[in-house]
Amino acid sequence: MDLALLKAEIRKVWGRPTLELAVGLVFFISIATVQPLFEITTVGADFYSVVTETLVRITSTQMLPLVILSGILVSLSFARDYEQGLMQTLLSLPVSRTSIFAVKFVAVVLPLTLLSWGITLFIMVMNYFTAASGLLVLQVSFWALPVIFFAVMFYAGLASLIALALKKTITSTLATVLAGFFVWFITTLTPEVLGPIADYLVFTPYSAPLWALKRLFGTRPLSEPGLEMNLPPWGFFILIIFYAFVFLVPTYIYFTKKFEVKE
Amino acid sequence: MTEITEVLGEFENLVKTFNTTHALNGLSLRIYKGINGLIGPNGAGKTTTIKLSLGLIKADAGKAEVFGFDCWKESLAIRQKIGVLYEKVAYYDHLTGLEHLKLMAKLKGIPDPKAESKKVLKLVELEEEAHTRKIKGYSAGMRQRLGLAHALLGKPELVILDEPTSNLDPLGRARVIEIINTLKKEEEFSFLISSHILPELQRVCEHVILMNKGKAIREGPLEQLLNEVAPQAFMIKVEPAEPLMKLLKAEACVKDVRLDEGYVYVVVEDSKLFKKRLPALASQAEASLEEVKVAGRDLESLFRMAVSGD
Repeated sequence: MDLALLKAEIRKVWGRPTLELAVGLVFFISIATVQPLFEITTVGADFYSVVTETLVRITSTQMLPLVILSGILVSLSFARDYEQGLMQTLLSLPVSRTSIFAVKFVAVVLPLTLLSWGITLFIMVMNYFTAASGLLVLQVSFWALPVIFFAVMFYAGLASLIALALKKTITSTLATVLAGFFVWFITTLTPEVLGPIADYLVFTPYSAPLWALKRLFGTRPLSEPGLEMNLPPWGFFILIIFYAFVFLVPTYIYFTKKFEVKE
Repeated sequence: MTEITEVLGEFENLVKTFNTTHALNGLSLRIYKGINGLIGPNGAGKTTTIKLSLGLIKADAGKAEVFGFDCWKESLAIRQKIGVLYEKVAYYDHLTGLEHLKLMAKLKGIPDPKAESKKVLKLVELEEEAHTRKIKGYSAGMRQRLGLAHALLGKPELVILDEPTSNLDPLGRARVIEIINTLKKEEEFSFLISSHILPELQRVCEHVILMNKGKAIREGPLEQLLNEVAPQAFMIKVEPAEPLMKLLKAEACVKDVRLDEGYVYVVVEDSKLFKKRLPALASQAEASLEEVKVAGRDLESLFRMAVSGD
């Protein structure tokens, strides 16, 4: 992967006003979900629970904006470049398709993950960092990084497949956002609607990253323990790694072996 | 004019269909060392041919090789030897022209990207603007010149230009033709140029490929093809045109009749017989012949004749 090309691609994708809007959106949504420390401590929760629950909560609320942002940015990176002709220029250079795909994918996924995690870390540190708790806050916050990374990879993989198949910026952006909303929407359905399969919702791409964190931190379920307790924390991590590659691998194969610049 | 011998690319019986459109319909052609002109009406398959040669499109059937490499399976090796300017040019618009070219030169593996970028920018007379202005502020002509500079980076063995003068003013067009001629003579570049501006193409081309409906209908050295055109095509100014056209269409020695820019354009098989019959036919049609001239010995006439006969 060529670093100069990656830098140019990042500057293109994250140019004004994309970066400002993304930071604003993720920061606003994250900060709105933080419960002040005194509110939680009054009900007798221990400090560890407060920190871990806040982290899960921030990650959870960031998930929907990340779905939307990864859909828009991947569509801009793949479909808009196709429409405007930059994809054609890049594919005519003596650079492998693998490199071009990697650059375009990383240019969205890496900054989006770092932006999201950076804001999470900032909020966690601002709220809970003291001389005594510093290491714990940093350790707990660290675990949000791989979880956000794999979740963003899942949505970016889905978005890149849609963008390369549809090849139109607006259509693929809308389709990706709708697909992301659908993944989120099914997790909101109740057992009354879904019946016995509702138990399996904990394993969906939207819920699994959050359960990976909850199981890792030993967070107590709000309701009766369900199927999530059958899977160990590392099981959830394997599941989210699987989800990260489930659309990425076929998209990569399609791009490197079949993709044509027809227009 | 140099003799054309070395074959750089060879396509045989290429077929490519997009949904229900047959973009290439059994295309066979050769690209030679020197300056090759690719001519054809809109939808003839010129851009598809160019994209196919760079591995951007995979043929449904047939053989496509450039520099001895398969255009789809070994396109990376081909792209190392080719520079290309597309009709639809796109860049990293947030960069300056020089920054963009440096990036492209680096990706092409050129040892000194900055020096090479400056060299090609000087060639296309874009030195000053390329240093300071971001590409998003460029005019269409400047973007086109930057595209040409991009295509020339690293002295590729074959430069493909798809409508290289489409966004340029007359002075800019003349300059591009001059650059192509200079590079051919001094640096032995080879070109494959697709253009609608036939008089300009005629000034530089050595080998011509005429395309229509997805296949090559004529191919050969320019001089040889031009010798074929005259005196088989005539342009007639006549009033009224319709009755004479009707009669001409029924004549055995006439291959094609069309009304084009006020002239009746006639392609014939036997020019002597046609000249003998024309006054009688005009009289029969009660039309007055105002002007009869042999169509020029130029690419435009060759193009019209070939397309009408196809």
